[in-house]
Amino acid sequence: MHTFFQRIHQFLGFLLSTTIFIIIVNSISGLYLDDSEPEISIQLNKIHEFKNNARTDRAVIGFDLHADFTSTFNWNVKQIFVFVTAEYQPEGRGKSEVVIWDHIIRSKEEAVLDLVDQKNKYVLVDYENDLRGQIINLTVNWDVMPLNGFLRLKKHGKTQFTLPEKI
Amino acid sequence: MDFFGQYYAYLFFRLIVIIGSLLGILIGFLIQSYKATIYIYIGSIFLAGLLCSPNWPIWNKHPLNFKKKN
Amino acid sequence: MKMKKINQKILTFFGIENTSIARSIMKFTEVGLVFAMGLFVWELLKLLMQTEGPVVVVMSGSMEPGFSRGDILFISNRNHHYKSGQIVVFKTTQQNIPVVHRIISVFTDANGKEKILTKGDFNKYPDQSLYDHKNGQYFLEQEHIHGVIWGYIPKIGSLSLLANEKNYFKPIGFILIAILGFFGFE
Repeated sequence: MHTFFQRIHQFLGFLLSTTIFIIIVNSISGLYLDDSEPEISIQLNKIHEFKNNARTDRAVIGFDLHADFTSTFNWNVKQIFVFVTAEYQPEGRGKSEVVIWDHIIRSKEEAVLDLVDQKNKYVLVDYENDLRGQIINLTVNWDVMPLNGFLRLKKHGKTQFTLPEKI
Repeated sequence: MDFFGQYYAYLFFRLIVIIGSLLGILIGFLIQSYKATIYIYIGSIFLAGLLCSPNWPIWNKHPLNFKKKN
Repeated sequence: MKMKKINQKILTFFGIENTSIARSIMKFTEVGLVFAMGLFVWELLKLLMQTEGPVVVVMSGSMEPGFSRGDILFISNRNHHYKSGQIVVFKTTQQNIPVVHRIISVFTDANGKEKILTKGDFNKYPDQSLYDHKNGQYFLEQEHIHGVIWGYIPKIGSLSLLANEKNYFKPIGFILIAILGFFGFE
């Protein structure tokens, strides 16, 4: 007969298969459940600072962000990484994109964002050009990070503004 | 355990865990909570382990009859 | 006499035939060896998966709370174009371990080349201190990135999830494993 330990060993082997099955079901369902468009609106509130520190122009802005991510949460979602990007295209170069603010939403309860005049976390600066007179596009993006399975990166909600010509 | 007891023990373990995992998936999907799936699944594992691992009397209902030494 | 009989019954119940202390110690160390072997295989896998393959094991906590140490990530092939928000794998020339961080800036220079800046979710500052600034590297180029993360499995499937839920699950788990091992007599 098998001993107690041999039995446990057999059981553990079987448990691996069932665990993998649950992980696969959870992963694939996450792909098909994720088709809701959350309500998002973003706009510039005001430009707080626009200075030059002897190298390049740096901007500190405040934006209004209203977003409701409650419909994005399902049994496959671990957290949602929300971030706002500033996109611009200097003369003679291709498009450049900088993340100016990010936030992690860990549950459905904290999924509603209602920010007024939120300052950017990361400085809005280009590595070589000046940003005077640049047209900046702000977009709200989010990365749905699952409990098991596939990461999904999406975006929605755009606004545009122009930085001042003179410092 | 004896031969039949062991066969049934393995059968019951697999049965309970499979039912537990399917039930966990169903309920977890219905209420959209993966935590529920895991709790039900692990609960079924403990139940099955408790029932099928030790040498309970129900697994000894068909004892081996060795020939007596003469 | 009666105590010995009860003792004998309990032991057959759990499938233990012999109660010699020397045998107990032997079985205990045998179980310990099995666990040590399992740990060895896991660490070996982690070592082997550092070479560019489709899978990588999370080594640091710099992407918390999304990725914890020991989680498994799936990597795609190299891309022609990277976007901010993508989680990428790159190797710094300083330490030869793969770093898994998120892209927070993509600049395109006058030649069309992309200059990329990354940062771990849990870190406060971007990764510029990780790049090879001895040779003047302040950004990542496309060739430094090995791939983009598209899939994720938590460590031990979901048991780690359970262990993080309540504080008493982890020690209870260990005690259970210890009891299991002790009664695993041959």
